[in-house]
Amino acid sequence: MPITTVRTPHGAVDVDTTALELGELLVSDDGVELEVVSLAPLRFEPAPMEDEDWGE
Amino acid sequence: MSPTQPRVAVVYDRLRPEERLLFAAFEAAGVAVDRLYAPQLAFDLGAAPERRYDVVLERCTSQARGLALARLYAAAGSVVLNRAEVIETCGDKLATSAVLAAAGVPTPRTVVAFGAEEALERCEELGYPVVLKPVVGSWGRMVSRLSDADAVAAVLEHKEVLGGPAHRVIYLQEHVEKPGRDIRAFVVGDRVVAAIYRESEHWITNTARGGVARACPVDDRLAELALRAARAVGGGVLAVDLVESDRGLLVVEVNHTMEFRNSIETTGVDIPGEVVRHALMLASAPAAGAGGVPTGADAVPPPDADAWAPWRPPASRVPAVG
Repeated sequence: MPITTVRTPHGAVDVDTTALELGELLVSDDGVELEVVSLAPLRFEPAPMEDEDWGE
Repeated sequence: MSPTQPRVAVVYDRLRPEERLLFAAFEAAGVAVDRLYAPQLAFDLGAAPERRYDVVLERCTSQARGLALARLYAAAGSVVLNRAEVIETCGDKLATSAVLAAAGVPTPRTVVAFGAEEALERCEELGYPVVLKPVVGSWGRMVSRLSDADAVAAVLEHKEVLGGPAHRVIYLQEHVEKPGRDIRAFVVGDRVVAAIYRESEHWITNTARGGVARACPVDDRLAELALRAARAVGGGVLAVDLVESDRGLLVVEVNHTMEFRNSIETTGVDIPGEVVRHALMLASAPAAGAGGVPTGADAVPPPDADAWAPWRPPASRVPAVG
């Protein structure tokens, strides 16, 4: 499993870039929850915790 | 993919454990599934429709996004679980209460007011404490148990100052003393496949808020009531929340994008497997039960074709589904 360290403005994350999926959540070493929003190029954004219309 | 294999997609905007479990269940069933990440989708409403999928499972966290996608995929000819009409009803507590009442499903007494003065009068009729809920919202957020008129007046003043359409409708419910738990019944098509108790010392018992799940036996009364509630909102794959009261079981709400991560081991029921089997059944016979409306002998009659998709773009403006 090729683990790579990806540095973001919100901290670094160790990821297996071959197994990442869109919408996946990861926690950076700064404790920020990041969402995978693009695979090519690989891009993370801080994940919103919740929104008004979120739910079941 | 074999030519006879159903074309299936799961559309989502946040990869929760539930979506992963559904992907795994499709894989276990030997069915390829397209994973559609909603933020990367776009639709040209001027292009010819293209039915790419037999079945689309709508699993968006955002209700607005899920509703729009359900409409678009249905307009392109796919069976969507759950149907847009179901999402619309379940996503709005007022709409849910209205259809449950019309179907004679027992619920906590509910009133809706459109001004603070009227709301306060109705609270006196309901008796304190009362429960104030946002019409749109999940996971127990912004649900308030208010013990007296002063508390109600204060919260209504906050709503007034906050503004926005969501605060213009005041949805009030009697507070039901429950035995430290409520019940969630998982409905898949015309069956209740499992149920859990959600136990909490807090009066809000959602497992998303720390409630603990425990297996609940599905007896005839629970099954009958959960199915009636599911049918009232249009059927499909649904989680029906109920409370035990001195009047018997009451249906509190029906959820259209159910979370079940805490309920598989608890109940011993392969809930994602049940969902996948139902989706594949619809894919093979969409006309017999599209959208998950129960098809058993005692089921509501299937609606006519127009009723499946009341929202249809003009023929020349049907979207291409991407």
